[in-house]
Amino acid sequence: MTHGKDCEGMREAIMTFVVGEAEEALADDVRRHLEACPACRLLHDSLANEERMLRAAFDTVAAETASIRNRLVNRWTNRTSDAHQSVQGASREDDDATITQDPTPPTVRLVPDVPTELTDSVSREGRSIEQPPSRWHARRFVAMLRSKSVRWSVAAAVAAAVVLLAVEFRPGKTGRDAGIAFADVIQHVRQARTAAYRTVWKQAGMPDTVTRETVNMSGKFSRTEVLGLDVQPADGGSPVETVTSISIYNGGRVLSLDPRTKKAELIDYVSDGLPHQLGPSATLADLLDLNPANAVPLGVQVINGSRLVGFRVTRDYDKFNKRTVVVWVDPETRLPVSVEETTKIRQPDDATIAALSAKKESQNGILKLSPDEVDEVMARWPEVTTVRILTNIVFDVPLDESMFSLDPPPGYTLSITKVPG
Amino acid sequence: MTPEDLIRDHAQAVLSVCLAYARNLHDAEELAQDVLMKAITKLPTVRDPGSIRRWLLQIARRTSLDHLRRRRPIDPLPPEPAAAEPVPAWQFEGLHAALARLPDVYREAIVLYYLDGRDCAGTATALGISEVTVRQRLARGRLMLHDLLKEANP
Repeated sequence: MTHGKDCEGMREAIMTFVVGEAEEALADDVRRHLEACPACRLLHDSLANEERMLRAAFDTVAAETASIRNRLVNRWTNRTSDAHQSVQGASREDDDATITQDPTPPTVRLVPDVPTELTDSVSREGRSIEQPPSRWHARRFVAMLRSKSVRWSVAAAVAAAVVLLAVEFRPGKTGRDAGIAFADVIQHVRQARTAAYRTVWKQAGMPDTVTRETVNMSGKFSRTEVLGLDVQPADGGSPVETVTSISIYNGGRVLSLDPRTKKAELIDYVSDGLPHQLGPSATLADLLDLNPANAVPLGVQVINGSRLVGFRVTRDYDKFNKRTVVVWVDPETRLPVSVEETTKIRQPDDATIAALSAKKESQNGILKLSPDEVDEVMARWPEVTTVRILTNIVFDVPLDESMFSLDPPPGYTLSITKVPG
Repeated sequence: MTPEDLIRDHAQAVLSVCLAYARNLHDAEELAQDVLMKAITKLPTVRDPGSIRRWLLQIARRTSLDHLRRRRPIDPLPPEPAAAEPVPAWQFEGLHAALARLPDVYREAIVLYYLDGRDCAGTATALGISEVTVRQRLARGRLMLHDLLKEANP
């Protein structure tokens, strides 16, 4: 039995009908055609039989994924509550005998380095929402989100940041891409093993955060120092920059140090026994993971006495969430010396959500909105712009291993959190 | 939206997309965990239920493709079907092997649809495409799957 010429065009309709997604008019057409066409009835029966088995197979997988989902939820919940095994009131030296800590942590099993601290969900006004705040959370949130850098001279870094801003906001382009392809730059970045840089985070309504970071480009370890300008010298001079907190990520473990209170906290993400293979996000490598096809040359600029070549790469998450990265490259090394990332996100509006929740059907707490409705709602939300400026980037800097040691300095009190399996 | 809510409400969809690209459930779980951590890291204040899933699935797709690209030179995917002893199609391994041979857009639509609600409107919102496109990808992808399954199990 063979299909007629018309039947070829019906295959897709029959399939849609079998899946149960045919609208009424199409379903009527299919029913009428099946009554008249034995060949298509055979196809229909075969597809319908297959569909039952397919659904059963997916049901089995869905049960598995539901179980994985529960495991992920539990893992998260445990991270933030009863997993906390605090070792109180004793210095690190006193506690060597009681704290089980591998002195050479593995570097191949990694989890992203910034989960627990984000449970605070610090809002854009700087207040903590949704979860009870903790000193550690807030500090780690700032430390890990607000990026990082190395020990560079304050004056040079600030000057570079100012120049970079001036170039970005008053661009007087003097040339094209000077013969450098952005793909070549990305290729060079991928070959780099380490990097050091300084970062300024800017967001309306929040004070700037300045950090310096030293990273291994593969994401295996990094050191972030959050800087403050809160020490006023006795002679009335300019405030002195101080390190307000330090976060060291090394092979799936994070050590957080507070130099003022001499408290150290170690989060052990590899203790859950899972074979984590993916490195932490939010590293320089992640920031520069850009598609060269989207790069627009900005020409040549002389910045701080150096001739640099610029590129702009825009990446839109969707209609309203956009990210632009401007990269200034040293034409000699073909490596970036400064990067400015601008992220524009629509900030949800509580009142709109509440009004919609009252009107719209929801499933498991999720509002069922059409794409048009989503666009309409989001268009009304205010846009929040965050700017991250990385300056004084140096690749392949020699690193001192002690900078990434997970042993707290003498005099610190250590507490340890293990992520349960 | 708290991180717990984000995981509870969207992990299934994230897992579905990861599974569309990963070799097995274990890899999909690893990828999904990484995706959720990235999402929580990058957008802790988003509470828009309409767009967050779409955004999450974009991260899931990117992460899965990166993962695939990284392991491809030494560990190709999709796996070659075993010629001598075909895996029964109705064990998930067999189904997954057939799915792996579909073009990405069809595989993604099918896996997301069957694993996450079986609802064209929800799949459309999650993927940021129209319902008509979802239906079309579902029907065409499903027909391709039909041919592949018949080929594997004549």
